[in-house]
Amino acid sequence: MEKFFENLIDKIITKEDLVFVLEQIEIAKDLLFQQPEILLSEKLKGRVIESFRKEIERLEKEEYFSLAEFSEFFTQFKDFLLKIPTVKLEIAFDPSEDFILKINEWFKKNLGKKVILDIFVNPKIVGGAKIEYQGKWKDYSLAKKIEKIYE
Amino acid sequence: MEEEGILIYLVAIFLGFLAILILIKTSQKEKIKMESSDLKISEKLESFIEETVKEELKKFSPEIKKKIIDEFSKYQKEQMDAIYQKSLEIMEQQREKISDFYQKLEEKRESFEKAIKKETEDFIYSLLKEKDAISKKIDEIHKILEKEKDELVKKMKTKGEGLIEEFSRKISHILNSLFEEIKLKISEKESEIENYKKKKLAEIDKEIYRIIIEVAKKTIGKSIDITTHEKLVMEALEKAKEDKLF
Repeated sequence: MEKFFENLIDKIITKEDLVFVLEQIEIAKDLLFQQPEILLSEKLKGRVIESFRKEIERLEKEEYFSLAEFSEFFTQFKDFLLKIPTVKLEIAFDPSEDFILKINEWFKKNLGKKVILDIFVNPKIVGGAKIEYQGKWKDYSLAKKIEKIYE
Repeated sequence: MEEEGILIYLVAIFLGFLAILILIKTSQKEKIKMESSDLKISEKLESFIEETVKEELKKFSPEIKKKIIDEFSKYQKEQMDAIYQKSLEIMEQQREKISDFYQKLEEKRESFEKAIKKETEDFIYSLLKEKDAISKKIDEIHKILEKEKDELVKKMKTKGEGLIEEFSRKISHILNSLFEEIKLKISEKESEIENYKKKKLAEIDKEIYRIIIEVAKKTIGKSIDITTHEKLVMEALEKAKEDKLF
């Protein structure tokens, strides 16, 4: 199960990714008890992303998950995802996927734990970033530096 | 036409008369019959009378007619003359009466004129008599008024001078206080203007800085490339770590 978590969690970087995965879980939960004679991984074909479906298939084959175990698993997985801390980043440009991965890696390396990136683009801050984490907030933008010069 | 009418009228009278005679006769006959049968008039006699009357009537009819017309014309003429004469008399009487009336009227008019003239003369005379007295009275009143006028003018002058003096004093007082008030207001307004000026200048300065900042931000923002942006973000993360934000 933890392996499953790790496999999927690595792909969840931004808030948008998190929302998407939560939607996939809901779909799987809705289909779980429908036509019980058919495997869940079969029922999910074409309805969720393939990587998610493959993980379900693996659980069916390797872990022999029953329907009730799947139900419990989805609930726990959803709670786990919702407990991952979020870092809010306000930046002046539209970031590339590579740069987002770079930031994600930085957090892994420097914080030693998984975070969800909530990125908001605001060109008015000129450059740098405004960062919010667990209720604390700091402004490291160029806009603030420019304003300081004229104060 | 008129003559024919008269003739018909006379014939009708005659026939009426004859009918009355016949009725009287019949009545008498009945009476006699009742009293004595010896006094009866025979039917023969009766028809004889009738025949006689008819013949006489035929014989005398044109003559009667002529005579009646002549008599009537004569009578008419006489009547007309009489009426004319009477009219003349009446007219004469009326003329005399009117003449008398006019004469009396003339007399009355003369008498009235005389009376009016006399009354007018008397009135003018009395007026002339009064005139002197009135003139004297007017002179007296005029003198009194002249005297009072002088006194009044004197009083007015005295009073007026006092009032002008009082008025000038009050006006001067009001003007002084007004000038003081205006001075104060001007001073207040000058101070307000100065404050407003300072405030507006500060606002303008602030606005200028805001514009400069905005221009600087836009200029710098546009001049930064993606690599620099990414570098700045990474520096911000490092700084946040230093600041123990995580």
